Amino acid sequence: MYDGLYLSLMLIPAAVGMAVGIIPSGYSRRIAVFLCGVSAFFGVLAYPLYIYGGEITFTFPLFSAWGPYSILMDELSSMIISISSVVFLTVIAHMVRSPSAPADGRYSALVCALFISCILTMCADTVILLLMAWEAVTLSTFLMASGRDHTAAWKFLVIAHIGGLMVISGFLVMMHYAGGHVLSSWSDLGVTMGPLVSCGVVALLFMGFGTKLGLVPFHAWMPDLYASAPTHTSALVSTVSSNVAVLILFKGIFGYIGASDGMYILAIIMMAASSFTAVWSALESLVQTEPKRILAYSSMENMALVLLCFSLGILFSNGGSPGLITVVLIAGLFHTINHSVFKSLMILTVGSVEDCTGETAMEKMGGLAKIMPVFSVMALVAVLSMAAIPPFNGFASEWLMIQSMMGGEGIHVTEILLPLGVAVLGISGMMAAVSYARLYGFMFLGRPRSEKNVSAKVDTATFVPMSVLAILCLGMGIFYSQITERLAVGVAAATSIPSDGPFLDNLSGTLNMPLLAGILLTIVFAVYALNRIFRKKSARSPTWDCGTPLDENMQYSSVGFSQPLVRVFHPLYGDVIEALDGDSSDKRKKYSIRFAEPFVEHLYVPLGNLLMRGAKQVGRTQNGNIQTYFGYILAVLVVLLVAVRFI
Amino acid sequence: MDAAISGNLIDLCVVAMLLLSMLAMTTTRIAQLLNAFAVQSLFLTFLALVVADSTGHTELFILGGITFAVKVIGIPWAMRRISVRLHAGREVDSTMGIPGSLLICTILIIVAYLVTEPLMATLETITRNCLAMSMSVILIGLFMMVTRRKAMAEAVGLLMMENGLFLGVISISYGMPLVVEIGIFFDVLMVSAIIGIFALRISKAFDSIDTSVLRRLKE
Amino acid sequence: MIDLVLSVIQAIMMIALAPLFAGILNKAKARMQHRAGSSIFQPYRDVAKLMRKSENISESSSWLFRFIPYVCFGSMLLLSLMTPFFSAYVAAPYGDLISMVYIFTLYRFMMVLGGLEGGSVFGGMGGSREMMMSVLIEPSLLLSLMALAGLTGGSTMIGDIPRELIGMGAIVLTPALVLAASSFFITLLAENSRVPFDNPATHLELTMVHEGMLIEYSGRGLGLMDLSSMMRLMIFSSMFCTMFFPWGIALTASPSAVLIGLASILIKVLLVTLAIALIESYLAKYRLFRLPNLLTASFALSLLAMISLYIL
Repeated sequence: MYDGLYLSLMLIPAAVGMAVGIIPSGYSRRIAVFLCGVSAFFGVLAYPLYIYGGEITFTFPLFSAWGPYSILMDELSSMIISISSVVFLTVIAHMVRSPSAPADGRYSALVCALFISCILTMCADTVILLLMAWEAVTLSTFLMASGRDHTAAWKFLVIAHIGGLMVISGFLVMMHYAGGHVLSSWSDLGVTMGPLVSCGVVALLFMGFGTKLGLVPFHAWMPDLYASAPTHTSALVSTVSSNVAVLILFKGIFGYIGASDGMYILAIIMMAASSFTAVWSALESLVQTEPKRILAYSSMENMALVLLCFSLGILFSNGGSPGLITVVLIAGLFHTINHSVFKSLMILTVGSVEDCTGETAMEKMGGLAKIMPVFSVMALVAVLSMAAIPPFNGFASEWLMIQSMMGGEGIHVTEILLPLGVAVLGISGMMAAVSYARLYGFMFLGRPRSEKNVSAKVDTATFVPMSVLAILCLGMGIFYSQITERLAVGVAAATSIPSDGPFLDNLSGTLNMPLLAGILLTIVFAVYALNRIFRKKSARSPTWDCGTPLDENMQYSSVGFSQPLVRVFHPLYGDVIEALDGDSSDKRKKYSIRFAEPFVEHLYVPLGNLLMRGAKQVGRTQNGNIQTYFGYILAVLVVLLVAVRFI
Repeated sequence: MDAAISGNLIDLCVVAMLLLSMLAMTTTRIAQLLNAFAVQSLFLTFLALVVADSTGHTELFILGGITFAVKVIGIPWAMRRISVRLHAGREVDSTMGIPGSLLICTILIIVAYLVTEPLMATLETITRNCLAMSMSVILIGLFMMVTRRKAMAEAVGLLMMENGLFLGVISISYGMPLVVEIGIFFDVLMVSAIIGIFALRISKAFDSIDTSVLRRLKE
Repeated sequence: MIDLVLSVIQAIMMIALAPLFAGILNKAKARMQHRAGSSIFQPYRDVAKLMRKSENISESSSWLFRFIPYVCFGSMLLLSLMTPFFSAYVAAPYGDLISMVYIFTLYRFMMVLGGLEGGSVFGGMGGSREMMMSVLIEPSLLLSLMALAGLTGGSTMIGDIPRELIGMGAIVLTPALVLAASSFFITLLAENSRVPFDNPATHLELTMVHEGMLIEYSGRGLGLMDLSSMMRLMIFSSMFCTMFFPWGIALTASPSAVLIGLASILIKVLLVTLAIALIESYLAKYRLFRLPNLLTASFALSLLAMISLYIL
């Protein structure tokens, strides 16, 4: 009864907003955004309501040949719905005041559509609703992404549909074996499916959702889309729809199929794929020169770590302790929600900076911390969380990941792979940290690199949503143990992994984050206060310049900053294209370096060429002559008859 | 000797042998390469002695002595002489960078462990754990022969493989019969002599012992 | 209660002794190179002098620049509270080895941002090189600590490790410990910008890494940064001594145990300091692009430590 009321409060305003947004009117945008905000506000309440009133179930009064459409919000989905709604709410609030957000009502209608489809995917209880909502997520993302550059959005659509196909086939196979379409009644399908089929389905789901999460080689859309789509699209794509994909993938593998010990070879392959994605995307993010592209690769890296956690979860079922499986899965899920918080904060900051300065290249920014001090604080919080620095939330989840890998002794034979997992985590995490230091340092610190960005006007109203996210970054880090305890309850409810007491007891170390953060902050502020009390006078003078006055180009460039690492890892990078920009007869010559994406160069382009050639071959058969078509019919008929006779 | 301590000593020796194989992969000087081989053989000798002492297989004492005489002193001395006579320069160049070859070495070790793990579970010798290490030493020796260009370094790779083989035999059954072992030692001596002679002939023919120039023979 | 007092005392001792060992290091180096060298108390005088000086800050730096010395110094203070020195008790069990590694990352991250603040070329170059090294250091550091944790039965709590190692007796001298220790020693040199990774004595040259990032600091900021880098060396050496070779550390709070612990740790840290001085006199700084060789070797050592833990 109240379930229906709550769901209608959450979904109907957004649905109305969707309808209103399409009306071409001056007010439609504002009304649609407001209605979406109302929906998102009720979405935030999902988890508190779950705690208060238990599971929320509802069946839509709609019937189809595929059965009813029903909804079930369990612990895990309501938790992720709440977090996603918070992100949604902040992104919408930022969008209202952002000058670069598309001004027409259609965009707001699409935001409403994305909200509804994400929520429905997360809480769908029947296969048909889940798959339809998942496709709706893809479609609305595609429409929202059609900004400056349509090719990026198309690339996304094609790749996401290949992924969607895999997801659909995976779910259909599962439905075949489960004999019903109500998702909440599926459990331990792996037993009925046998190891081979369940491996196949897990691989399909992994790749299918991997396309949305940027698994190599399905990642080619990601940097282009982030760079060309409106800021708020990228913010929502990288956070909310990643949450959705990770949640469904998790439920699919561990809830519906259930990891068994026959799957460890697949787990090793998945581990290799996600490790490669993590290291490679971290490497690639080092050479990007646009902040949004860096963030795209960083999303890939974070999601690859989550996928690594899931593959370790399968690996651990091969003889490890059940408590450890829970730990590694919680680490993955916790990292996902953390990622959605800090990544949306960072994308919003970058978007605001791009709005204010009108620049998208890092080489033109610099020294912004003096012009926009508040933004620089927000960005610092986001960057520290992304780089897994204590006491922020990124650190808490990476700590859990490393702990789960270090505790993984006792798994049969394959335990020897765990140090490699730790090494991957260390190297990709540190490379990502380098890339964020570079991002922050070259955007906000140093001297301005072009005269243009001196006049920046900052809309102070956007600080409110950003500071909410920044506080969440800190809060989720400090209170990580409470959050992960709740996640543990959710994981235990959604899967059949036997729980082994409080999951933190399974770890080989403890981390008292409130105390750690408290001591760190106390010490820093005590030193600061002492310094203020016994203050010495300080003077300002120009940067030391060896006697030559510095102009804006005479400082380290962001490309040069990552050059040592590029030199060290050069076999992994693609072709380096060195180009001479502008007129070569000009006195001031400008050279630029560009890195070609090896996967695009050596996989997508040849594949595309092959397809084109194949299409031409097929086209040759279509000569328009009616006799030819009759000939085809005759040939098919003969072949079929022969086949029927002899098979 | 206390069983735990002799077990520790065996472990230390075997890991030192593996480390010396990896060191040999990274070194760029022929003298260092030969030293690495000599020290590796020294650890092998020591390992044979510890095993002989703690299990009572006295023929391992003899084998240890022969190893010491042949591999720690004999072959390195002879090869040093040859390398001086060749004027081949002190450098041994590799077709692969140091970080890359180290990473491949660690992957080879993991592969060796995964391959030998079922066998190790069935063995009952106190040295059974060395089997994975011996397999790694063999694989790394072979890998060294793949990446190194100079004939001299390839010879050292072969000798290190032989060390790994000896180690493996010790770990499975505390050594082969004495006659077979002595036969193998003679084989090794012959091999190093032949390689030495070959290297001399090659350097006379091509003014270099870089085996990649052997490709020219094809034409 | 006595545990808490002991741990606070040892944290204070580590802070107080850090400049002394830096002075001993310089003196030993000078002696090995047949120079007289400055007094072993010189670092105290340097820091005290810098603390009294007024600061001169670059015009292009922002609010963050003033905060960086406090954050760096604060993180080192926190770590000194977490590291066992003469006693295995640490101030509070609020973090483990992994979080210590990440606090070191905080320090490095902040220092690199500080290097980029002034907009000078030196800061950027130092930061870029530091970051290159840290990418290669991080996995081997994590793995050597993982090997240590695996050796002691899977605990990553720094207070438990010495206890476990001593309890295991002579069996503990396995290859895993030796390999992990040698890997950790290489990372110690790399993390603390010692030869062959960086030349700590260089100033205003194109070779500098650590000093390059500090070039815009002056006065009290520079003093704090210098002090925290000395503390970092001290923390690393005492981590090395108490975790890989814990014999002698006080496991109980009795006065005799504490005295033995104090004597043994001072001797051990002194030995590490002399070893560093010996390496610095014996080796020259490596070319930048030869460093990956050494760091990969350290990585291979720590990976081997892990593997030998599983195989043997």
